[in-house]
Amino acid sequence: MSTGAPRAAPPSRFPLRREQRDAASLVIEWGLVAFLPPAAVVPAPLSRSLLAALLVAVLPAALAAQRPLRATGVRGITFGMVIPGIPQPVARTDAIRSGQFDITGPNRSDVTITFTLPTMLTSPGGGTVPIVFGPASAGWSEAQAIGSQVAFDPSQPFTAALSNNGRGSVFLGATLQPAANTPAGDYTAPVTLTLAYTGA
Amino acid sequence: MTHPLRLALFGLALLLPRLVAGQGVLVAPHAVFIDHRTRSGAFDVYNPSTDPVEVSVSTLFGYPVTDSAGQLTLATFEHADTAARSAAGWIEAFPRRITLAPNQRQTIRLLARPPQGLADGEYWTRLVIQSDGGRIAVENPDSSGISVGVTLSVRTLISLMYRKGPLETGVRLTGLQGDVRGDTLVVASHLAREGTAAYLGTFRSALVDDAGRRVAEFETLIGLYDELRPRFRYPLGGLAPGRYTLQVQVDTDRDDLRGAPVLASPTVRASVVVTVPPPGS
Repeated sequence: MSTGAPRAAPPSRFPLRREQRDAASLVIEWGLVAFLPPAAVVPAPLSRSLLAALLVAVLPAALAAQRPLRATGVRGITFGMVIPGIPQPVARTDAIRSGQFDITGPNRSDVTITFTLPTMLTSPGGGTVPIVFGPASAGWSEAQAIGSQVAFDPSQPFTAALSNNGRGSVFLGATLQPAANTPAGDYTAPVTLTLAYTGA
Repeated sequence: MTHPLRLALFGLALLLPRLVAGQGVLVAPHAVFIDHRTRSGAFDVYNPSTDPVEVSVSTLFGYPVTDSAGQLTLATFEHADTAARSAAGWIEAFPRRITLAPNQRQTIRLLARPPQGLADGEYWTRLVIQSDGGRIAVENPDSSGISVGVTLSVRTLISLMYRKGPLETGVRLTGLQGDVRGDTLVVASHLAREGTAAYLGTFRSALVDDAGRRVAEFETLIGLYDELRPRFRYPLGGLAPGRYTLQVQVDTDRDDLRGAPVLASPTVRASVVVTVPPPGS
């Protein structure tokens, strides 16, 4: 399911202020090194601060909209103590235990989010622990707030609309289903998040 | 430091969300343009984390489409017969695989090796930047001796356009419909690409009241490669019931691609009447 979360055009009453804020955010995120040649050196913290201030002051407004694409894992799913035979559910609305991925990109743009999810965690010894992602195990929040999510099925592509400042968060829950005879071990599985830009 | 304070800080540390290192690199720009005369391009990847990240680059043919619900999504095609416009097979990245140190930036060079006799036109591919980061959510073994965790990979897909010869683009807007459902404005339309190149533009919607005031404005960035049948959904917070004119404008002004060779095209406009019903009706 995808909702294509909507967003209003940015307010135009104070355009310069918004642009400066976005430019500052961009500088911090992308890092000053991104705007410098690979061999460039910024020797002193003072110089770096001064350069940052100058960049914030002179960066054109358009640059703020060119925020680089990025998905960041903020928090993994935390199941807590694993007890064989006892399912361990983690809700996407759980502020402590749910997984969280922050997405950034161009302001007010759409991105398609796709998960490749495991059905089993495996151990080097060959043991397995089933893991289940339900049709509402994932949530999208343009405001990056765990309390204001739009649920979606992580097994299906989801189109998310980034906010006016190019941000949003994905929250992910799951249920671990260890069998009663699950042997001790170190169980892992890969999760792949694909972030596709659909605005170009 | 007093013992209770140490205990409190230790407890707080346990409760804090665990930061996940090493997943996701910054990728810029999010659209790459290569001209047939130079046959080369580049983009940057940057690892802002405190851990090394393995990054690999590959290509995949695909472009945005709309699904049955009118949402933008990315369609990918694997077979050559559906990929006549594909550049996926002849775009090479250097390096294709790299380990980025913390705070390291790397420029990825792109080299095109198009087939002999390539016809004039625009050819497309998606660049797939995969970053393999750290393991997350690993629990310390408890009394059962079981620890669990996942490894996270992030794939970022951006567009690449290879251009040869003179190109033009345009959009045909038909079937505009506006509908208010609850507190949501649904704007449906049919967008068909014209010309020989993809249309990169902005779909702008505005609601205008009887006095001519623009009471709500929305915009969505679009990449139109073939056709789209979007149903954009926009929030209408506290708009008074009544009749409004929905004005739609599609143009090639792209703030996010400032400085990029976005092909210009005449602005297209259309409008329809929309009724905002009273609450509860």
